[in-house]
Amino acid sequence: MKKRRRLTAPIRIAISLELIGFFILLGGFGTRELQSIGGPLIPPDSYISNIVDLKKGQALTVNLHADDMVNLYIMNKRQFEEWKNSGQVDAFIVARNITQYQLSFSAPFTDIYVIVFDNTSSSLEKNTGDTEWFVSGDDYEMVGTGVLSLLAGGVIFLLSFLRTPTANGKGDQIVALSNLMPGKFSANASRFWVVFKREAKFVVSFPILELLVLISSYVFLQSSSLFFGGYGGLISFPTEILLTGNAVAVFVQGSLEIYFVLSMIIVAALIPYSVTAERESGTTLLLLSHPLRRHEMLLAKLLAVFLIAWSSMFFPSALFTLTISARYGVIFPFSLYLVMAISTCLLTMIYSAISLVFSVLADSTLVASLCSFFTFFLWRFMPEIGASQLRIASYSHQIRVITSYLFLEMVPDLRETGMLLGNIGFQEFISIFTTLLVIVALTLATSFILFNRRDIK
Amino acid sequence: MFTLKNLRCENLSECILTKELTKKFGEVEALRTLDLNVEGGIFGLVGPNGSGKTTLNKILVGALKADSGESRVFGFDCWDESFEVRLRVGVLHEKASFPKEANGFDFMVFVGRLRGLSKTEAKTTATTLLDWIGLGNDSSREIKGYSAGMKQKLNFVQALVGRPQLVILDEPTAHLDPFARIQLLEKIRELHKEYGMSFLISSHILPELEEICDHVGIVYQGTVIEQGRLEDLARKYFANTFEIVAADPRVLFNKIKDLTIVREARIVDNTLIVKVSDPREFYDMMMQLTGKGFSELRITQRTGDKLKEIYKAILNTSEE
Repeated sequence: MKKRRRLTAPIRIAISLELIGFFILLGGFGTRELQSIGGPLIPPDSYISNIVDLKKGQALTVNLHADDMVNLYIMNKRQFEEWKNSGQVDAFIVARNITQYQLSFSAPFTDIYVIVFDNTSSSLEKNTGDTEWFVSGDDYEMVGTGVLSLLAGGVIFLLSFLRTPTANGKGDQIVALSNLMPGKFSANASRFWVVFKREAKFVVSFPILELLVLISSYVFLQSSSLFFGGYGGLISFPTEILLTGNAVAVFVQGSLEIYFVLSMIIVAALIPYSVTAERESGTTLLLLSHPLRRHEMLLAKLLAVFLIAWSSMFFPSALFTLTISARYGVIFPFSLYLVMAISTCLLTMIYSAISLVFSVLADSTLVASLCSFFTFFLWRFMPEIGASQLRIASYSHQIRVITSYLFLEMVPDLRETGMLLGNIGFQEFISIFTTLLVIVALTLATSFILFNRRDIK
Repeated sequence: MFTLKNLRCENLSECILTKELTKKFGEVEALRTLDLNVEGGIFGLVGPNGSGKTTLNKILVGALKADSGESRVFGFDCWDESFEVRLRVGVLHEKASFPKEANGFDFMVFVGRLRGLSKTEAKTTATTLLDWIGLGNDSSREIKGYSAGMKQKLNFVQALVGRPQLVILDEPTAHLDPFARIQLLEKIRELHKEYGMSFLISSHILPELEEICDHVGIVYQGTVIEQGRLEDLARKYFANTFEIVAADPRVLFNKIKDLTIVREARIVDNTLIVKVSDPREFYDMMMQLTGKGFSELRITQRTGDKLKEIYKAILNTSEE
């Protein structure tokens, strides 16, 4: 019998743990927790308090929007009780008679803090509709988990060399590890490229895709024209236009909104078509009877669908922007396109990863498509449910936050816009970005493991 | 004939080896502790519908995972090292489904590229193989427009790309017309003779298997109940059976049919076939008869019988 030259289970587990640990560790630094979105109505001669548990060094960011003047205080619990009893304000932050206010407060020590919206000196009801606050700082539980995962991976890796597996000698493990490296890269890449080209052709031949691209272009053109005051026919450009920073900002956000919905349909249709339908028809069995690894095939399919889904939505948007630019002589900065490309890319990645799990699990294309679509749908339209407890639930919000960050960083001419979400720091940006990548990585890993284990009938 | 890439061969003497292989689909037990040892050549796998032949083929190329037991092809584990197995094995699946969008030539080039051939090699191989099987004129047509027989021919040649050491064929002659069947069997024989390719052929058409197979395995209810060379099996199952050629077999038939040692006697094509309980005693009796009016008797022990009868005999024994 020939000696096996493949990675043993412990080494595979160790490598997985190292990767997972790395992502968790990255995510742990500078995490951002969304406490609440949208403020309540404050009755006359009254106040509203919000309790936040802060650790030393954690930052609390408040963005207040009220329709009339209110007072804002940030106190600890003792100060709050004193204020309630005596009316004397002794607070860390005091802002009086404000309608719009943004502050960032760093907790001097670990304590329970209270954010107070004070309307006690007024006889009118105040509306604080767009108010939100965040807590940010390093998540030491996540960092700890990441470190533990890295350590565990390292220990398992070392231990796996202490025992000689029955079929694998120690030397063979080195050979197996070296097989992952460029030595065999050329042959693998060539095979991958062949399969990728085939998958891309296959997906492009999907008739619904062409229809969706047409619909997406139409809907995009129609709705985008709304932001410029015009609405009517297929391409209803306004006769007069005042392009301000705000208008452009809304334009980008508006285009993303449409993209959110349409990319749901495209990905939910294409991934099951590429993965489940081929398995149902038996073509997968035929292909996998040749020297093609399962993960190579799945990766080629995923990449082909991802690129086509992403480009079929991004390029109509970019084209429209160019059209506007030419029609009205407005020059949009190049970085605007880049921001749109990155954000839409991230969203398509998440949708594709989720749909891939269903496509691998389901035996029917229809079931995979419906499961994918309804998961996107529910997730998209109920983003705030459990937002503070389970940050992944608010992924669409996070993508918007990322877009805002990129927008403000990369399109400096439009920094003054007030339509986007609040400014965030680099650390928070990295944290959210990493969290989203972790979701994608874990979901993809699940799909690949499931596909590698399932029977191909 | 066609230029194909050579592959390193580690252990040709042990082509396929399975030990106590089991596979269940829900409550249905497709394979039950199946043991098989194929040492190359042309091996036929026969068995009733649902006996587990297709399941076995799929396990051998890593499409299905066995619930327990061991399966190896050229020493490689069929599940954990299925990539290595598939580098060395070509497969014709029963009811194969081809990519809808491709034409015959493009599909063959694609398979060639998967098998590690360069673009030029893949194109040359595709052209040569399609011409060889008689699909040269239809190579630019979309596969979805092919007839069932043409698809089967394409299915056969795609399994040969890269000149695998072992080719697994599941019902290779299904959908083919009689002429194409004969042609395909000749090609299998030619490939074995010229290039030393080994074949594992599952089929219901026993005369075809008998014509080309060196060895056969009989699969019944998920297990191999018998395997070996055809002559050995015939000898084993027909050791007590004699073929007697006489001038008038009917007279001889009437003479011996009531003997206590005769279990079964029948006339097939003027030959009297007799199954007995004691071959030595029967042979002695026949010798005595030669001096009593049966001078033209020619008695032989039955050895190279039709696979159909061996198959029937084995199944009957198994059911008993």
